[in-house]
Amino acid sequence: MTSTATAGAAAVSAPTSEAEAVAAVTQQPNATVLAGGTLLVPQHNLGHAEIERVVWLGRAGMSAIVRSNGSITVGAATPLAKCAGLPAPAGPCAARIGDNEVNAQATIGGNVCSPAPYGDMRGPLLALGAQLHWADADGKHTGGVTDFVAAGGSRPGVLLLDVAFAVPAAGSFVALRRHHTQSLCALAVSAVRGGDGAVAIAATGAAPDACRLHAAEAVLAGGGAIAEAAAAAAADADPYDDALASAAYRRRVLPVYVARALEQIGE
Amino acid sequence: MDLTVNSVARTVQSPPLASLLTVLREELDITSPKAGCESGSCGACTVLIDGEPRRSCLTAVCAVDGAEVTTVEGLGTPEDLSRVQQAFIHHYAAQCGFCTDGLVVAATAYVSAGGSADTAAISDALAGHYCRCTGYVKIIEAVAAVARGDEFDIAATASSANNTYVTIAGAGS
Ligand code: FES
Ligand code: FES
Repeated sequence: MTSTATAGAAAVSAPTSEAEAVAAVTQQPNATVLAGGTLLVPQHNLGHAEIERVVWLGRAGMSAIVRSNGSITVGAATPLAKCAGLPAPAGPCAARIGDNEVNAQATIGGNVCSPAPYGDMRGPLLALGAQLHWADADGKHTGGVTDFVAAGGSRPGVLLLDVAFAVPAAGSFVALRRHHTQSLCALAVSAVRGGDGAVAIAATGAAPDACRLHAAEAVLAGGGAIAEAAAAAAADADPYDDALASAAYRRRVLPVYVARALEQIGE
Repeated sequence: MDLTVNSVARTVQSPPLASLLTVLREELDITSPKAGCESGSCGACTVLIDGEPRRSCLTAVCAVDGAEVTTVEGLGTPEDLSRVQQAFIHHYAAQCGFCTDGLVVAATAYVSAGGSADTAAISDALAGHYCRCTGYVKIIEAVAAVARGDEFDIAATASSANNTYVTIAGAGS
């Protein structure tokens, strides 16, 4: 491991393996993870984040995409641009996050760790039923996106290692693109048909955090039509106002996008 | 931290989380990368890191330890402009110039990677760069001309327009 310490500034260590990264993040107090840095660096330099100690993942590896036996594991430090080839909804979502230069530098792990209006990948990973692996002072953990967020996954002292999911039978990603919002996403719907034929639907931007649309899924499981499933989506939504869209607009667009996402997977 | 900036080895003393933009402008006095938004939105700070366009305002300097950084100062000189710089002059692709350095850098990466003269492909490649003056048409024409392999007679451009064009080559601070 190499390290740089500068008086009056954050101390930075640069682990050269995943094991070193786990040790550096979990065994030092207040260790903040720096991956692509596209959110952390401006927050720090504009004075919005006090950072004492940084573990930079640029030399730790953790950026491989491994496919085996119908499943895919993506290292947390994998740049989003490299994730663009993943199956839908993950790939199409990764491809549209940030401008080109940002997309090439930002990582899937950093995105998953960031709340709205970032965290675009949470919806696709929820729909895919992805399992996340992370480490903290208590050891290694496995769980879904919701478990990771509930465990406070983005706080100092936690290191997301990778995300893994089964290759779906079909997947789709439908997102609202609006001029003047950069690439920040006001609303996106992900739909996945698994190997067993069951359909999972998730949304980002329909509620303050990404959520599964269980009521809509239940309509489909019961043999209901797309239009009925789309109408049921509101049951799991909690639309909100922000600079990107009003709650009323989100409420209006959600069923339209649920229907489109379902049509795209051939429901 | 040691980096190579425009082919010159430099050792920098800034704190490790300082942005590359700040290090270039304040410590190394290389002022072509502009601080537009300092949050990754405008593209004015774009530089090449190991040949790839990156936002210097989003890049911690510790993350480029050992890397090669190129700014407009490393692409051409007022006497010997790069082809992208010539094209920007010939096609009047710069007005106030604030976005120009980032665009020249990104366009250089685009054409070096074999980018085509297709307008949609150029728009996609440069999508993260805001220009408040030109309306983009001239910028896209300039990049397409480079991709096509056009030759530029800069002296003729200057005399026909009676223009003091060379300022964009060196870019003010
Ligand atoms: S200053 Fe870096 S993108 Fe605007
Ligand atoms: S020339 Fe003025 S912002 Fe582009």
